[in-house]
Amino acid sequence: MKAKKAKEKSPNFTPIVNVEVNKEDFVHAGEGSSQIKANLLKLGYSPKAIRQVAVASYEAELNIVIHSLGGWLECGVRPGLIRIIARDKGPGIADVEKAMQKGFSTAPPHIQQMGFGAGMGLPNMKSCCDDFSIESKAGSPTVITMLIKDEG
Amino acid sequence: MKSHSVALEKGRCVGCTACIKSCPTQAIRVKKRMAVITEARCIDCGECIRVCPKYAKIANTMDLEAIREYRYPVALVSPALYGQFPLGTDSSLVLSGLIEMGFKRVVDVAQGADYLENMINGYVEDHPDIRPLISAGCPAVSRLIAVRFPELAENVIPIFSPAEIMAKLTREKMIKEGYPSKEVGIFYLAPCTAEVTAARNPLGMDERIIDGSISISDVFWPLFNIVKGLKVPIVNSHFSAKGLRWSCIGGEAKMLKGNYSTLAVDGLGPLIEVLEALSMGRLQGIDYIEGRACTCGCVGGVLNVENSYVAREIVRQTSRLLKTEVDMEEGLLNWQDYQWTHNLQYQAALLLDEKPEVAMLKLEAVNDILRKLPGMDCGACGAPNCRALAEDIVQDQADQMDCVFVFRDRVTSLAEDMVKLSRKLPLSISEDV
Repeated sequence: MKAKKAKEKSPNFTPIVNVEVNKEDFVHAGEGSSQIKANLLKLGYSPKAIRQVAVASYEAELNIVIHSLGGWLECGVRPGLIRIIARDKGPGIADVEKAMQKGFSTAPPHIQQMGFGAGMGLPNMKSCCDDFSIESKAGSPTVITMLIKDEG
Repeated sequence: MKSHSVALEKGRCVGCTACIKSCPTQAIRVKKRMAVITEARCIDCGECIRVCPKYAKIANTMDLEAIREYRYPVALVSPALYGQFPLGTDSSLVLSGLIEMGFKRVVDVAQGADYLENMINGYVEDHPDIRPLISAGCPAVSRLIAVRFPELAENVIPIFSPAEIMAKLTREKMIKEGYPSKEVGIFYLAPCTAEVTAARNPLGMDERIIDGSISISDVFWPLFNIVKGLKVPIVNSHFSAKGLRWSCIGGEAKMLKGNYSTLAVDGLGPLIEVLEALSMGRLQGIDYIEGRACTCGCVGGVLNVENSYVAREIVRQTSRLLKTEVDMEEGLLNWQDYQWTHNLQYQAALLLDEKPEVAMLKLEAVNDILRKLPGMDCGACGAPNCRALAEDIVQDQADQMDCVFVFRDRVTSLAEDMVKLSRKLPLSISEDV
């Protein structure tokens, strides 16, 4: 359903990956990003773009695992441009501006002990892509949309 | 393209599917009861040779006779060779045995590893902005990166392998001593197919510096019989414990002098996992990755005769008797003088099409076909898994009916249609109203 909606909104992106990401599933975190990477190699995107996408999509995937109730990772492409959308089922971010600051984290201690949740996720994502947008508020789902240009 | 060193002995291949599953780049298909390798994808790791139950996959190496084409044949001895001999065998006797076999000079690659130590330390220090750096010590790993992880190509250290270092030094030295370069033939006694290919078609360089490669497994038995009868060495080996242990996993990482965090990963499966993690930015804080395609490192190379774990133990035990540092003839060498002429290049062998628009359409078609395939990844069609078959279909290299399940469903539905038709009678004789 969700994937269909996204497709309708921007018809020029061909969807290539749409995977469900489960809450606190650290074991499988990264599989969606890995699938995205494998597909981009088949499509001929440049190593530089693939590197950016791999990092950005993994951070997004991990954010869903750590902070949300679960969600979806999607990748759509068109020549020269890659779009990653990470959407979750909530619980939403109360202060988006604060969440964008380096080092700010709301990850619980047990997750930080595992080496995750250092407060670099969102800033890292932003630095890896050419366009970054985040929609969220407390009590509602979060949607992160990232665009990565491939200049070859 | 005859640059690869993995080949097929046609009479032996029975068209089973053992190799197609083991290939890390999905380069093999079984067609007409025979394995076929897609050259552009092959990274010469030798996994298919290792798993082939019929010994049909072979290494394209030279035989010992080839050394007679040169007046001054030189043997470049992989340290893995010492792991093949029983514990306690004097390495100088092994080298002397090679002289008896016809080589005019023997050179230890372990010595090249001793020279490498200063080079990698220099490179790591001079490039603090690239982390982690990835060792180019295993050419199969470098080629895997070129095909499957091009985004990591800039992390690969673009310097000579120990064998290449020694080949260059030896040729320069012999020319200085007055030997005509044309009459000097440098032969690598290689532990694996990746090294054989790297000698023939070096990574990062346009010119080859090694003239040919001979498989350790081809040299071992004749050499073993000679060494058995030798008492006094006529040449001496000269390398440190570290240089010898470079052939075992972890040996190179241990050469780093600073307080660096390193990963030493052996075996293609675990290595691919590490490279995936690295590509996603998951390996923060790691400075250096020593990846080796074979378990235990070069001692586990597919052209060796001894079991990789046993060979590693023999090398370890032997190295305990050696000094940790030895005086090197050339002193310390700098990486700048042993640099590749160009960095590791992306090999776009997995591409569905050169044109992005067409590739996109093909990918959509692959996904459509994939939904109709059973997802069992049985390999009976000759492709390693359903996705690979779907790609082959889109590339006109295969047909949906190659899938035994799709084929069976089609036969079933045709048979049902036949039964239905056979019961249908013309109106003239039909009793139905």
